[in-house]
Amino acid sequence: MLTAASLFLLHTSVPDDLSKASPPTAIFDQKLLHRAEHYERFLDVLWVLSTLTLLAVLAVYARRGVAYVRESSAGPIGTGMLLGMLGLGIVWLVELPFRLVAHWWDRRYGADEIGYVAWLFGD
Amino acid sequence: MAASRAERPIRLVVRDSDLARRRLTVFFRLILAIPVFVWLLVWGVAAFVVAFVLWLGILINGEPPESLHAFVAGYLRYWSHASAYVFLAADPWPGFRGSTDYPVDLEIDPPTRQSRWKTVFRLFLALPAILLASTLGGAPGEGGWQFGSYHSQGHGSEWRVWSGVGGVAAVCAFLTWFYALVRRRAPRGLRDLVAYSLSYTAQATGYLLLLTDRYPSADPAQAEGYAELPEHPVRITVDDPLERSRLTVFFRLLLAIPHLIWLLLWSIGAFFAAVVAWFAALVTGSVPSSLHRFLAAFVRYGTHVYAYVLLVGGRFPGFVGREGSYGIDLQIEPRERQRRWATFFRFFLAIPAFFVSSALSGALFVVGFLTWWYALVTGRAPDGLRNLGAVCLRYGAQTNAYLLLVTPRYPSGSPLLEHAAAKPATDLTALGEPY
Repeated sequence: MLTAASLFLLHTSVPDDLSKASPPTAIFDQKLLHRAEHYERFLDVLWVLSTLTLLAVLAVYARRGVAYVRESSAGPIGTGMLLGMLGLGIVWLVELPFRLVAHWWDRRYGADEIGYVAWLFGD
Repeated sequence: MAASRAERPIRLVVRDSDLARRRLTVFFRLILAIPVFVWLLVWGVAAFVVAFVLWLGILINGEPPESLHAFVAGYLRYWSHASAYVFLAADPWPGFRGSTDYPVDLEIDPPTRQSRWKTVFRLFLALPAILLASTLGGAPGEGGWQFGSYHSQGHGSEWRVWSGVGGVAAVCAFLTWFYALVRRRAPRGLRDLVAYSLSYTAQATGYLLLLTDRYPSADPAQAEGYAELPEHPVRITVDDPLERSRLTVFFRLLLAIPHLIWLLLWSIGAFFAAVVAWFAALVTGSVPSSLHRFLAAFVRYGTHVYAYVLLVGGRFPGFVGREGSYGIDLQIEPRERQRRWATFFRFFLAIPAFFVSSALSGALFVVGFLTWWYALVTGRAPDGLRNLGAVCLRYGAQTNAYLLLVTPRYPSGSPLLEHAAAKPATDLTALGEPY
């Protein structure tokens, strides 16, 4: 079906009078664009910080997590499950404060209106 | 452990050794109790007012005034008589004066100095104990702590209603009513369970009403003075350290997901195995040994999983239900012959046990909830709650074992975890531990 659609499209052409999209500055004022950029930049920095923290915590878990083998009466496979589930829990716990900050940022910029309690339980 | 009981400032004494009940007074028990309820309500209102004065007195003097303490203690003793009468743990009508020779009575120590800090925050400190008491024995006043709300729909509704009118004690009394009408005596296990529930509730109420600043203990060992632990083919063993890893406690439900899935799958297989075992037992008089092993392992595995989820056990259990593989373990005797008529009606015969089991499950969930908080803060499980959890698990396991034809023996309601003689020497430094 996709192939057929592509074949049909081969025979079409772009109209000469088609105007290109306007630059953002033509639609939004400079202040709003700057604000959007600021919003995005913060989230990017937060993502980098969250990823670095997560990697650091996972590195610590990889070194120290073996101690949790003592917490298991199961065999090797069961203990592996325990460590895996514990890893999932740790990932969630480490990311939680960053998500909270991101949520605060979203609310600050009007990108989200959900309350903190609803967000926490929704998360 | 006897030292532990003697140390408790509020102790339950049971002198109902013959368990005899008169059919007529059993049949009309609730009607006969109406004047007692009215008097208890009046006395209760006065006691709560006096307890407030007691609260002020302790905050000022550090010690409760003796006369006020005696008034509240008298009320609590009368409450224990009335509750024992209503819940069929005792037979004589309790009267209105709180006589000293009632078969189920409280011994309450004279007033002593109390910590002002613990007194200021008493209402909040008592909340966990009240929560547990609401699932066990109810409390003074309106026949029970009004815990939860009354919903008429959904599976949780029955548990909430039972909790509201006395929890485990109410369920036991309901079953005892039928039993006593037929046999003219109360079943020993259920009577002991009611007495234990009343004992804990009395401690919680005494703590709330400032009779003592010693936190209530849920340790079933306190029932040694009046309870018996009969031999049973399904026994629980507790050989698990109390220390808990905070991280695994925090994520306990998440970590248990693989086990819960596996238990669900196994239960499907166990259902079909039980059906086959039922037909085999009807024809041959006993369950084939391979099916017995399979079903016994299933019951044991379920106990391991629930012990882990509800923090009665500390370590992550294995997936095969092998005996000796977990700290909270079940010892199950080999198969034995089963009477055919009891096998034929097994499902119906198990229904009363399921009532008790579901009531104890309510207590077990509260145990898990409280232990979760306690272990997160202290890094260990409280001794008393852990042992109470093990008792609840044992009853559930015995009920499942009975239903699944692993044993022909009916579950025992005894609150004791182990025989007094088998108990190792207890570290007396642990006596001050709450719960």
